[in-house]
Amino acid sequence: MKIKVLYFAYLKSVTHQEEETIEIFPTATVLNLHTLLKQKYKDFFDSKHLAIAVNETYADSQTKLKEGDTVCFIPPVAGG
Amino acid sequence: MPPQDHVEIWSQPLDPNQFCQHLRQNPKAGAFVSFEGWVRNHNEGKDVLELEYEAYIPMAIKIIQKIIQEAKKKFPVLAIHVYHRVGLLKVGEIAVWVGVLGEHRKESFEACEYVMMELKLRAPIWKKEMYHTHPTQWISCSHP
Repeated sequence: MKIKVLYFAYLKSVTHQEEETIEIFPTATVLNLHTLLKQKYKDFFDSKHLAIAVNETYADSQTKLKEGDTVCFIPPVAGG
Repeated sequence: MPPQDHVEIWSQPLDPNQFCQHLRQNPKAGAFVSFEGWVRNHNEGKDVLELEYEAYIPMAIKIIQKIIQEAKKKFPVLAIHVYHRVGLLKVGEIAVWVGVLGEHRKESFEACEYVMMELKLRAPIWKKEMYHTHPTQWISCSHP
């Protein structure tokens, strides 16, 4: 299945892009997706340093993904 | 969210006078509290030249709207408006503006503080600092 992944801040500089589409096996979780990205980008943050959003809502690493989901791995935030 | 609340992420300089005008039209109000977060010229011993804010805008708006709803459940205020900048900001510019309209002072202050505390913890907004003499750096506040 295809998952859209968004990159901001530090992760945008690591991946050199704002978004990409990742092909991953059906029933994959957010953790599976993170593992795949960690293999693809050696400087990708470890999961303990990232929050996760699926379709603009905070989620956790065990959240199951579905075709067409938009995932954002959120580096430490610093608004205000 | 009731229509009296408002959230925007702006790429242009924030104008508090304009925002106040929007809030001044409620005859029930007896208190108005606002907070402005400014870009300061130093952080952790480094001289800051300018800042760049980046946001996951649709999600940031949803999260701030949720924070406003929570604040209004905890503190009986009339309206809360939040504006946050993105893009490149110079020292002295306003990065965030929160305005709270209430019937009384105490809950208005408390709601304003709650919104700012939670925004800093939960809104997907990032800040990169540019320094005079050090490499640029993404700033970490906290995880949601």
